[in-house]
Amino acid sequence: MGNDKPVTLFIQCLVDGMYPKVGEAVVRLLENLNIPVDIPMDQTCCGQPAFNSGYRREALVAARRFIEIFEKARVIVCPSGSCVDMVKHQYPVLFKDDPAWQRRALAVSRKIFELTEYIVDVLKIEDVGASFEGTVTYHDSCHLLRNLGVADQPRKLITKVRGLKLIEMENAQKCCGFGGLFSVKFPDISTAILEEKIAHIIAARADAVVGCDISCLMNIEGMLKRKNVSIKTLHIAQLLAGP
Amino acid sequence: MMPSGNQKKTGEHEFITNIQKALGRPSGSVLPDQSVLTQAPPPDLEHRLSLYCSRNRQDQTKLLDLFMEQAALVNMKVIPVETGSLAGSAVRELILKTEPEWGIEKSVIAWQDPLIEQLGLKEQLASDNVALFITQSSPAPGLEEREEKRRHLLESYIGITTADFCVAESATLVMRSGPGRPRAVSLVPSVHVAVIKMDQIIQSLSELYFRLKFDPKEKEQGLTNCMTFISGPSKTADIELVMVHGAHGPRQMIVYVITG
Amino acid sequence: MAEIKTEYYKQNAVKAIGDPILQNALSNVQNRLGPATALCYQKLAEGPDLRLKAHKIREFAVNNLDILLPVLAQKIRDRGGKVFFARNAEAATAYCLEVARENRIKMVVKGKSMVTEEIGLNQVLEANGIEVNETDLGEYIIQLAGESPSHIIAPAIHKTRKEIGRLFTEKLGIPYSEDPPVLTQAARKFLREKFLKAGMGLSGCNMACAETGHITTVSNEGNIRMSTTLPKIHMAFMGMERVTARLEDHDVLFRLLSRGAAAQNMAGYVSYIGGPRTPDQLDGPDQFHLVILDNGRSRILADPEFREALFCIRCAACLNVCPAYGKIGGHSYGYPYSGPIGAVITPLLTGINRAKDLFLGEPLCGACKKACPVDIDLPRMLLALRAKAAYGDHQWAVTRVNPREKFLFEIFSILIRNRKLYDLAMKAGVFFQKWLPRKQGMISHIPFVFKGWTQSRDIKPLARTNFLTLWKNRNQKS
Repeated sequence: MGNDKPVTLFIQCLVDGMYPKVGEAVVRLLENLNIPVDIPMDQTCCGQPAFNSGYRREALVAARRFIEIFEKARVIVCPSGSCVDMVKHQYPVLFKDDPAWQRRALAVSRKIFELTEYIVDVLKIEDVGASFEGTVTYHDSCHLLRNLGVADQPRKLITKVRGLKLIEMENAQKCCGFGGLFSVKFPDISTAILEEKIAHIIAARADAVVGCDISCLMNIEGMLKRKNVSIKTLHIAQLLAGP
Repeated sequence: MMPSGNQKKTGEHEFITNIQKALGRPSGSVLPDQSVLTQAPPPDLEHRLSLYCSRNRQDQTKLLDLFMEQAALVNMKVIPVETGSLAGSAVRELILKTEPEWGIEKSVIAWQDPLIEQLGLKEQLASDNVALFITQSSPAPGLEEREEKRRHLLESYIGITTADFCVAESATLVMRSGPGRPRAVSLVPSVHVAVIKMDQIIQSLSELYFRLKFDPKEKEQGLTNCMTFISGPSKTADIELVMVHGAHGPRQMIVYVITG
Repeated sequence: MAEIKTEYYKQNAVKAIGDPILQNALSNVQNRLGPATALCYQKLAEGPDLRLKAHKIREFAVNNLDILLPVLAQKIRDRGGKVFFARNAEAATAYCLEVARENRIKMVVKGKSMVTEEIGLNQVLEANGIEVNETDLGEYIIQLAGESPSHIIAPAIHKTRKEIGRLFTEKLGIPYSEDPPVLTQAARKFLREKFLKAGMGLSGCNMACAETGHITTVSNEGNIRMSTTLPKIHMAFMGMERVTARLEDHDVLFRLLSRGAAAQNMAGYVSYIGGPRTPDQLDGPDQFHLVILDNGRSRILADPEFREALFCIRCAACLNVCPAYGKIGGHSYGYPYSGPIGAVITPLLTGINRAKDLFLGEPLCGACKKACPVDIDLPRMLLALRAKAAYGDHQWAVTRVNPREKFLFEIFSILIRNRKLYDLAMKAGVFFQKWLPRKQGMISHIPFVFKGWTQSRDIKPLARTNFLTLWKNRNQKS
């Protein structure tokens, strides 16, 4: 396997199936920084949808598989804060009654990084040489912000983009209302929370809203499109990797 | 059914046994382990106490400044005065220019306390048409005496107390109840006036608890059956989060700090 | 017991979301208190990590309840107070009623207390002909309106000044005003009479101290001091977990409680009460009773997964940051405890199945944990409750809430184990999605399980070629 490569990518299910361009942008971005990547072809899902819905046995199946596939990697990078949080913080909890697997989970948890965290904190790079003509506003994803503590890293990367102006929206750190299956099971509450987020995005009067988690962006994009608002949604990799 | 009268069951045994079960401990009476309840005095006890009790003028002034700064945030007025009698004339001024909230008669009530005596209120108010009630009481006041004092209290629109401590960091007056120090004087009248000496101002809540717990003087008195912290006049924000003073307690609070 | 209406969470949420006045009030509360509390934590000399110390203090106390409660009780009895241990709501209300009857009490005044809401004390007293007067302004307003609290510390935030003005005109007969100072003054005047006439004052307890043998009450209005000072009897109610071991614990806890509750350095009034009036004192109640309540708490205590829920000091900081609470308000939760803490303790106190929507119906954003002054891991417990609901649980008498969903996740676990099957499923998705309506490249309606999504949102269709296939193709080319 390709564990000779410095970085092994975990491309979460939503990017793989719905937003392949984001996956390509992640690869392009890292290759622009001279980081060759390996992408295991048998990867699927980290198990978060099952775990967050309470189905821990089903999540365990996903967790074991993830560990088997990724534990040989030197560094695992994933363009999603919530998937990284799942692997980093919830896997060790899932295996609390299984010390052997828990050890393996902890080993994996120590080498997984969210994309911007990896670039800024590990590679110590803030300027990736990108340019973008226009204004953007940044949405903080919940798990990325509160469970991984990543807030400054993406902002550092964004503000170094040539030609770009970052406009902070009001309550950038408040949830967008996605919450996984919550958005489907409790659409009224989810929608009400999202409406507020959309109002703040619109009020920021930026050309695009940028985020680090495609799930939040999918949620935001879904309503922007429904409302015929012409603000673009961009995963940070798309912003940083250029077209 | 619950047995009535004085034989009422407290339910304690069954209740605690149930908690022990929940905690996975053997049931039965547990001797309270003192280390769970209270901490041994810290090794630097003497040192800390002496620091607290020997603040110089400069430190005290700093604490007064901090207190005033914090008090302003909670709408508590702090007025430093040189002497007790200056405080007394300031209180007289206040009485003359402040109208009662209910009714038209002006009555004020004050704790029986040596510090308040320094104000010489009786003399100050001699020529004014103001009734001054003092909460002096017999060693074991009976119902009649208590009711009389309660009437005085209800007639008064200004209540004057002292305090045991004043915590600068949070602008908090600390009062323990005791003979001659009824708690309602700082509560029922429309205006609460407190008189303290500058050396009663302490730094923090942490210092307060430390002194209450470890200072032999304070320890002896203990917290009493009612110790109250007051940080500003009564307030509410229950209607659309709009701040209004004087919900139930005093609408106005003034602290005179005797600096001399 | 308070009435349990947790099964109407969804319906009530929809109603709340459709009420523009409530929406305005909720965003007002959240925008003002949420960020202000966070800023207060930042400004602490010890920084926000002081919350971790508070967590330890609460943990220590809860782990030693069997030692602390008897000590607290004994010290209060030594001062002439009476302590009653109530296993459930019925025992607690019966005790209160009994004391009221023995003393021929016709009217009581009451300080705001969540635990008395929980046991439904007002209803029991009123059913027995005793007049109950809530004295916290917010509680008084909702009592006049015949409603229940919608926020732990600001119970009437769902009412506008206009509504309150009309309410006061109707119930108190005062000329209409919508000026908060005028309305406050009216309540002050009416309640002053009640304080003076009441035979008994009722209060909750914010935190007791075992070492010294005191309960504490906290308010900004002074109503609790009135209720506990002027009537001849004071009866306090506390959840059994609301005790701390040592006096100095209160330094950290009160600083954090005041900041968490109202972004204050210190609450306006804090009283340590340890017994009735002593013979040499001029005022204070002649009788002091403390009722310590279990009512399902020992069951929470027994479960290591949920014990942490008992560390709560009821400051409502989690309500002020929760995106779900911010839209649906307190009444949707169907029980006195609302917001994230309500979503955890209400199911544990009243039944997990019945209250399942409380812990399923919020997005797990984690803001509550950051806002909690004692750093309770609410998201962890929400997830633990979801696991109980997913599989059923013998200990908590939970039955599986959604067998169909369980089936779907079993299929999920098969698919994710096998990349080929997974790809096949995606291909099937790409195939079938062509029948879904589209608009400008987005799917605008999905039936069945996912129809909730397209209620307000479009969704991007599955890509014809997924990322891994693109990657494989690229590597083959090179």
